[in-house]
Amino acid sequence: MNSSIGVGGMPAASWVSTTSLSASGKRIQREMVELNSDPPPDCSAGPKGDNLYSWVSTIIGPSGTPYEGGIFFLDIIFPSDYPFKPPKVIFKTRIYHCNVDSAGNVWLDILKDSWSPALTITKVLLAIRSMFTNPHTYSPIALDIAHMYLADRAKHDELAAEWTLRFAK
Amino acid sequence: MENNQFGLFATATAQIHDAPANGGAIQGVPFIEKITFHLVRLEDGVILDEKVFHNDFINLTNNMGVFLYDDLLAIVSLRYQTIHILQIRESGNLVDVRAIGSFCHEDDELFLNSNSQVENSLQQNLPNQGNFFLSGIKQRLLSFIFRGIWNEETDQIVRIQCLKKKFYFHFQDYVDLIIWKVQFLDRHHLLIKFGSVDGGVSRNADQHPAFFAVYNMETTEVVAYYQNSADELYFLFEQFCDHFHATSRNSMYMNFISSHSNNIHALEQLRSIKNKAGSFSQFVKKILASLPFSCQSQSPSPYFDHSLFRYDEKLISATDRHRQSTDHPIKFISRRQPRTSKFKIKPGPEAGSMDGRTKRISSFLFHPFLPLALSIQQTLFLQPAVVNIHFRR
Amino acid sequence: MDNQTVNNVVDADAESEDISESFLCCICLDLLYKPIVLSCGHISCFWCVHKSMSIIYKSHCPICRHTYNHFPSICLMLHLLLSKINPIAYKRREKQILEEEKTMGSFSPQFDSHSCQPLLDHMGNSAQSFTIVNESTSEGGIHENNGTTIPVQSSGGTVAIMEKNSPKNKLNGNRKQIAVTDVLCSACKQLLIHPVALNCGHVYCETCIIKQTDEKIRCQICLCLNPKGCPKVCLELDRLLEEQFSKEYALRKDAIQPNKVQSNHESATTCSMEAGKLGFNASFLSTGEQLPMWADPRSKIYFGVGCDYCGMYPIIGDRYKCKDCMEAVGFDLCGDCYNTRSKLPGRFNQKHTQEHKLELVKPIVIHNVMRGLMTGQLEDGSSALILANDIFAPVSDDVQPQENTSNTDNIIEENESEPAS
Repeated sequence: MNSSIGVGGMPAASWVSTTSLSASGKRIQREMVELNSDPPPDCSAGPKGDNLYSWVSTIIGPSGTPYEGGIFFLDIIFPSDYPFKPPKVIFKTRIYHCNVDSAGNVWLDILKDSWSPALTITKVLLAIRSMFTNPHTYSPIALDIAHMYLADRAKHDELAAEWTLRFAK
Repeated sequence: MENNQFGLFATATAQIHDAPANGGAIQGVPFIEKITFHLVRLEDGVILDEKVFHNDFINLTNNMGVFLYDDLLAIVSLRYQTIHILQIRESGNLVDVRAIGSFCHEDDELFLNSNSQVENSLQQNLPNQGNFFLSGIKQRLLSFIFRGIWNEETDQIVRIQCLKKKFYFHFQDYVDLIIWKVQFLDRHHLLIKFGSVDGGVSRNADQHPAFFAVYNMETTEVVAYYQNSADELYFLFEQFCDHFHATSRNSMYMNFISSHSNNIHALEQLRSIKNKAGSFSQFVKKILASLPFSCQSQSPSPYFDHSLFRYDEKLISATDRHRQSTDHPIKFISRRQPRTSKFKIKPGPEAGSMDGRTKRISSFLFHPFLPLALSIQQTLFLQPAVVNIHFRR
Repeated sequence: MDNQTVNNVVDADAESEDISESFLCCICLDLLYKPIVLSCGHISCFWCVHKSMSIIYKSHCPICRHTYNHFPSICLMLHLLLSKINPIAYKRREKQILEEEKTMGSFSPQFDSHSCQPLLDHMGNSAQSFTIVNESTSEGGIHENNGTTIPVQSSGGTVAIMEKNSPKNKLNGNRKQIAVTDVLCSACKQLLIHPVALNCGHVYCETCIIKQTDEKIRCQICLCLNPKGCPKVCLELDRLLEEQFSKEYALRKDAIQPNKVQSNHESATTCSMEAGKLGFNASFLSTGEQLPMWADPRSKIYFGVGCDYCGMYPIIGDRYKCKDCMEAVGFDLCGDCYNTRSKLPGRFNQKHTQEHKLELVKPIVIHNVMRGLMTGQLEDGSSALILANDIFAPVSDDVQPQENTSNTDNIIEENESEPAS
């Protein structure tokens, strides 16, 4: 959000305001405390070095899924107007999944249009973890993977497991 | 090789500094337009095969960037962070066996390309240039470190705290550190040293952060990981130094290199350094800085056998190294009675320029078993090197 | 940020009292400050609600995704309640927010902590139930009470000057001690039961809400029209009431039981927390609900501009802008509020007075932009194109053909006023 929205002839004066950095920083710190005191299963995360806005997370492939045994690293980048804008979550480990594009970007509705400022990183990690067990085939980014999942689940799982073995060990 | 049929020579064009980092290259590493490895049949000097690297950087000084073990040759591309494993075949061919870096398995890239994803083109792809996946070797390394911390702590909250402090806080450092140097420990295991970009290019790298990893090429697993100040690795090194000198099974002379693990005199020497050292961790760092060993850097000459001879380590050592020439004669004194000087080398300007004030850099090459040595002297001003042959009188 | 700042946050928590889970703002994850109750009954801070509102289309409750168009006023009763329950933490929040506001350059409504208490009782039918402290004094520190309460004009034209130090302030001396008098219904003046907060910030028992003949709800105190149907019960507050005043609560509950059958409106409107929490995966973007207000070619929308009286944000319809308010946020009214001649200082502590002149703002020809967007042929300037790309990209999938929506501007309100069940 910024006040330059007013290009279409609107006066600059408006209710649109910016989020102060201290507010987003405090919120991220609180989330860190929350995450550290009650981490979701198989997940962990923390800031890279001194930068509170740039985190790394690790999700262990849940057992019973083709991603079992994989260690998936994810970059989490918080925008400066967090939590009013969603964090950006990018897989740093290759994964065969219909909701992750070929550059590692996660395409989950809650990280796009359905973001709510009440969501926290703990909830985002849980959502991603549940994505491992239940791919969102109704809104895929990788169409062929989604198609494979629906048409030939065994083949999909086999491929996903092979990807895990090759790239996520 | 078994019967010393082949020689391997490398030629390179001049280094170009401040090269742009394009096509996945590491920023800050200079590049050499063309580096060629020639496989030469020694018998007649015929070049049997060549392996060419374009716009790459391979540290050829003192065999830093290459390692030969039996018929396997490891070449470290600093610029593209890849360890190329080549095999020298009996037929006189250099064959690419595998490349470790972006990928771990030979066919990973093929696998990936044959499974390329069809993406929902309705949703515009985010511009995400240069922010792609971890390389294969880094993924293995990071997941090894992660698993180590994860399994070490059973309490969930302590575990998370540990990960935060020990792992996530340093995550970017792990990602940024590059492969510096590699050696074979055996046919399957590589000892890889990671360090900062600056340290990889400059020669004295002691000040930079660094760590070691042992990597199994077959299983594509990292099997061990040590900081460059790890006591654990030092104690292994102290007791089993010979295992770090991966010697080809077939070269007889190489088995006689004396080290502190097989030679009491060498061990005493090491201990005296240890006792003199200010802090143990500094000492460990300094000693471990010699790892991974450079290939063929240790001279098997009996003159370097500590049980046979005493010599001034400041002037000469079994490790092939450039050092500033002095006018002091280098003496090898027998440890047996009478303690007489058996071999004396005068590194002075016997055949070179008579101007004694120019700084000269010299290196020595001892014959594996005959009592003779070559010395190569160079001045700093690109004058032709002077080569002397020193015989025992 | 380094470890030191991390510790600061932890320290701040350690030194303050135990903050009840239910009074943590879901957005800043801290104690609620200047709380606002949304029409779905969920509570958040003034700035947290404001910043989470969409500037271009309907806003959604961060917790349950309930849609709303109006930025509600601060719930003064909750504000006072919280400052009693957690005085230390609330002071800390006050300081912290004031600092942020100074850097932002816009301010939330400032309350005079001593004089606002009697307001609840004395206000009668004056416009809004809080006093606005002059901005200049508030910057000096809002703890000092200089008695600079501005007379608040009632709609009848009489001036009610607020008294300081009402006898009810005795309660402030006793920390954490809240009395039934702190949580009275604005209408029946008894302990609140199933509390409902209207858009104007006033709290009523669910059963005390009186619907007018046209099914609209008007606040009996400030006479503001509540923009949508009856808001849902604020469950967090209800829970607190039941815990703190269990005896009185039970009594009230029994008394209300028979009435409840009569006023059968909205027993189903309580938005359960569980449903709200699970609701994230729900496809709230389903086209029916997300009917774009701007799909109507004739609608005038002022993106990023809110009405300082009723809180409609963005303003749809006519917009009147104050020519004399110099604050960065400006002062605007929607057409309805302009016509009812509501003269109030703004939502952001602007110093708007009755003498200020308002002018009708010429709408940008939004339907041209829209039509261009939808047909993909934008013949206007390139600047409009940039605007369009920025704003409309996220929802472009849901755009309906214009023919579907030939209604007038208040189509959204009509949609929303139907019970959620």
